[in-house]
Amino acid sequence: MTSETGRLHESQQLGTHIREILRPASWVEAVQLYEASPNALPIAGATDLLLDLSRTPDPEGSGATLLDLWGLPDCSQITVSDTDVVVGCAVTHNQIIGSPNLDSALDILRMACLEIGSPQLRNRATVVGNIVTASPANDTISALVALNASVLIESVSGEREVPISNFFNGFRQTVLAQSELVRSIRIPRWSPQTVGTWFKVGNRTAQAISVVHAGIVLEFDEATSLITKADVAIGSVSETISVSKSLSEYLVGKDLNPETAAAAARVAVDEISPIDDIRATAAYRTAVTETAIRRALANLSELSTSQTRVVPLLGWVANRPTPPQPSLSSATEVVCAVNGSNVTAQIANNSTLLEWLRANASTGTKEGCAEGECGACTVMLNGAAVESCLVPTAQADGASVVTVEGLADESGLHPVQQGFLDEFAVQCGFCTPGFLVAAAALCDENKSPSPDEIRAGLAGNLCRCTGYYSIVEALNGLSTSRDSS
Amino acid sequence: MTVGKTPQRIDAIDKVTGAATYPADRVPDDALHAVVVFTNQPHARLVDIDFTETLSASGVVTVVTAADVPINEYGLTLFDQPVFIGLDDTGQSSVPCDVSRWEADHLAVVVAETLVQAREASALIKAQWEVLPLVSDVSTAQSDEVLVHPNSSSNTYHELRIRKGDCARGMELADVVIEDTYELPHQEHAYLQVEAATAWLDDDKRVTVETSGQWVHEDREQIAHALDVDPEEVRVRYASIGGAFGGKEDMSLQIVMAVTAKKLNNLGVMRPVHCNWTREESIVGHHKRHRATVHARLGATADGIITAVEAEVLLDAGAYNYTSNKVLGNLHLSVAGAYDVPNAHIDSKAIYTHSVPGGAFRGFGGPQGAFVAESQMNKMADALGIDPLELRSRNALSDLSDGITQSGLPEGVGVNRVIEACVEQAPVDAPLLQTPPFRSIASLPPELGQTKQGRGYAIGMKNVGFSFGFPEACEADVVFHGDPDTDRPTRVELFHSAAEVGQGVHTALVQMVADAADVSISNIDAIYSDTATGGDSGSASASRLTFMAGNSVLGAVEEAEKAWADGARPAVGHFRYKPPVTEALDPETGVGQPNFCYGYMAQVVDLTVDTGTGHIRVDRVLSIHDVGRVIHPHMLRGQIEGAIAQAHGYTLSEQLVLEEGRIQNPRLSQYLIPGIGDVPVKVECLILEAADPLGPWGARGVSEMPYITYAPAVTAALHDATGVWMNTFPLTPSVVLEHLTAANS
Repeated sequence: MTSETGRLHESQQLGTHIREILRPASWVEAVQLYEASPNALPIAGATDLLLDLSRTPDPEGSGATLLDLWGLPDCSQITVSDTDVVVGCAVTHNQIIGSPNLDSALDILRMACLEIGSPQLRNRATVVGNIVTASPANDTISALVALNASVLIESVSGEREVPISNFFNGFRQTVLAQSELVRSIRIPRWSPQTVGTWFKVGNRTAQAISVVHAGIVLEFDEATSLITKADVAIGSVSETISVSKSLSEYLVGKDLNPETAAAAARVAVDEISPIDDIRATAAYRTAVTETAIRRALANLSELSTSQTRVVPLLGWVANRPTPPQPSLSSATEVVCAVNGSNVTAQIANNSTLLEWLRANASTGTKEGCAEGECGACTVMLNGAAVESCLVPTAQADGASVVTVEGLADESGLHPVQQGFLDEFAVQCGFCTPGFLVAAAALCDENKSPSPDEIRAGLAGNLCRCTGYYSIVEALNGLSTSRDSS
Repeated sequence: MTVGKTPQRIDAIDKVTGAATYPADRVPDDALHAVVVFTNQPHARLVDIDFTETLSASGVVTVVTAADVPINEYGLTLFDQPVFIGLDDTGQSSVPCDVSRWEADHLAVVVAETLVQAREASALIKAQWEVLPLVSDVSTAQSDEVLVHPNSSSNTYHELRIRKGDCARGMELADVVIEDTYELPHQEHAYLQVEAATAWLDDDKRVTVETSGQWVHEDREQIAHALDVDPEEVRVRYASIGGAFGGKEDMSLQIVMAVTAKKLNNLGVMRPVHCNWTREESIVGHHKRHRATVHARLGATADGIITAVEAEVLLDAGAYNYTSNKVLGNLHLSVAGAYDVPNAHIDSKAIYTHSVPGGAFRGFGGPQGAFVAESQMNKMADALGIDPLELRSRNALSDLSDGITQSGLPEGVGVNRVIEACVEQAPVDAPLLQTPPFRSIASLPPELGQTKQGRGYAIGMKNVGFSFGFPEACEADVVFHGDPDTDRPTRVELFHSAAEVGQGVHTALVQMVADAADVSISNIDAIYSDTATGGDSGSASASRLTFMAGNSVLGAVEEAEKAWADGARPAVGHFRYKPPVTEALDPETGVGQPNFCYGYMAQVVDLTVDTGTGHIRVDRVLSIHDVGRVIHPHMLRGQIEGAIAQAHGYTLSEQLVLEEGRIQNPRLSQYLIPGIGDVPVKVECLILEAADPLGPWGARGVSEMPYITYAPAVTAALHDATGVWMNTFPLTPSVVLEHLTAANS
């Protein structure tokens, strides 16, 4: 018999509260602020960091200071030059997705962005955020490693550029030193004889953490069509993601055909060291890696370019107001235009936009998971659908927000609301507000989405009652009713 | 007439505009905030506890403990669970209160000015535990070396038997015997709205709890028992309910919040108190669909006539009974399927362990039973080389059958009706649906020959209403308003307690009142789910409300009509509908009449499996239901589509992980319910309407039926595609590939 001192169940422990958010007006100011406050945590979309904070106990109760890089004008661009593509640190996944055919190398990164989280998450989460979190499950890393990208790092003492393959020190660790910020990612452009692809194996069609993912970039000799360079990076199967050396060695000099693909896939799995976890066994990861690498290489032998899928974004093309307040704490009053009316209220204990909206403006916006998984808290923030549970309240200061209560106007219900009524897409109704806001954002972008586009646009919203069929019908043509068989 | 038509749901406008309020949306401005502190001990004795620091923490108003509960016990069918674990209980509990048997047993409620203060103060509770040995599963439990409940002589606390004919002889007569062991997994309800409640003393000094649940009167009964007061001194009402599926049938916040409100009042704090669980607290803190292990044998002659069924059912009840004894009964009845079985020997046991309690969840034991029964039948068809529908047809229960409990079946048995419809719509030789290529990896096409298609069948039946002699009734009150000289009422009020969990019952009842009283829906005011205004409806469970509540409103309207004809203004009608009486089964033989009504169903599943990755796409589901009579076609369809999606998650992706009595994945990012891109590509419904002799307008119930047959239809289709039988699920890619690989090596 052992004696044990009781402790609070993990599900009941308080995380770390946000003490202060610093909002620099420019990149230069951000670098200086970080030098002055080296313990501040840099954020852009904050989607990973808010969850980390909520799950990290803070016994001293001192709280966290955040350094907000979101929307900085000199960090929010994708710049294409003759030699490379530069992705700024505040560029979101949806910004990449919304730039198809800008550059073929960038299209590989785009393939990874397409399969991360949900449209709402991709409106907030940035590619740089995905790499600094440094989890081997992070999907963009395998793409960027295969693309030979490099990371541009800056601090008051200067700049440096690190190849992405050297950027990671270990599980969730990077080479970033104190007061260093990632300014951008540089991706070299391809020679004409380059092809590539990216894939992900997950346990759900969307909102799935990868079981395995990989980026593959191959260069061919123009005359012989033999492979001259092969960069394959496989994720979720070891502590960090790097280019598979033995696979490169195997592929170079080969003709890419189904036999080469099958043999290369066997080489690939010799080099990985996957683990058993809640998502899959190590044996499964090994087997499915072999299958997927084989398919990817075989597919590349038949296709010279990857396909470009068009996916609803739910409105990332939004203006971002300059920060009106340089530093916000829980005592700060936030001003936010909610459904067209200004709401002014302290942040207080409401560190997320969801909590602040529910306390001050909108109980129609629901909390279903508080981790960006269910979409019930979806609102439009400056025109983009986002999960409000993953937005720090401070970042909504000076913003405009549309909630479910703001969808109808004097002329009546919004068409998506009418569609939900007509098709009986409402049962318990708890997920409905999030679905409707996401649907409204989808229809703002695409007046008549196809069923596939509807499913892609609403991939970030969970419903436990309807099976989703009536929801798809509610938006499919908006006025046509289902055949009753 | 509105029955059979598609009037708009009466709750839909509020739900699409954000005006509908759920319990967490109704926090009074002056409310205090509460945290229900879990023991965090799957099995440990409380040795010492000290709330000094908690009580002196900033903002704390009070701490509620076992000492505050007059009768520190609860349970829907057995009082085997303390409201709080503690050292200072009143001694009025039938169960020892100093031992935690579940990680989410309640230790205290901490009440503070703000939620953050309540959470901070919760961390300051000083508890000392003596950790005790753990009974983590039924195989450990069966040795009885460690008893989960020392008051019970064995962890196996509830047993049922069926002894029909001569099972051994029946097996001897069989040309083929199918024998297998099935492992059925837990399932989390994952309703989108997690538990929340507000409690206060109303103007009449009634302890009032506003929450979301499935049966206001049972909540009130449980609260009153713990408080040791007359139920009339307690009031329970429901705000909008964001899904339930059985998961809100048992107590979560109801009792503890009532106790808290009463204590605050005793302390002179006249303020309401609110509690809202997080998703993690919800998943850790409420019961699950039971996991179970079933060993089964099925014997049949070469021409496909069943000779015997033998089964042993081990149900992991978890730490407390909840409704396990009733779930066990349902599993026990359904493990032999919807077939004439001349000889049967079935032993079913509910067993205490220190895992999460099992309890009500759509289907209530039916899905586990059907998985066994239908898997056995599919394997038998395969072994005999007989068309699986033909095999079922040869053995289907009928009005002439005596049934597994040897007492006949309620009139109108529809097993052959759904089989015949299935033969007509989707015979075995009908070509599989042509589908687009299955990209299990979105960016890569599958390889030639690696995707395989298959079709599977399952049929079943599910009781409507409470079983086994449990008191079954439903009350309704209607009031006709109008001038003395008017011919018909100008306005009708309906008072009813039926819980609207999303299924649409509030709309269906208004439809029924409209037709019965011949008034338009717009002239009906319905007041629902408040013990202060409505009679006892029974729960929103067992697919029973259409049938039970429908009959109650029909009766109430008839009573009001009589009063109206007598000149009463307003004319009041009260009615308590009671269906035919059911019986508990004989403990030795299982003889008895357990149910008064059944719904009948058949399902056909076409799927594609990627044998390189183990991913499954369900291409098409045909769901056939004899519902008696359709009340509202769109809402009916919504029940079928929703049940199939939920069963799809159960079958393919939802995997609750328990280690040493603790749930390891209490988040929606870790426990994967189907999203919009994961559900079957196409669901077709075929509705049969063979009127039930007792149902209102002939209606039966439907909400559980489409769920029950789905998993065995999927595994049969997987077998058709790959030749591999799965005796467990969920069929995650990892599990599927492992089995395919093992079968090929």
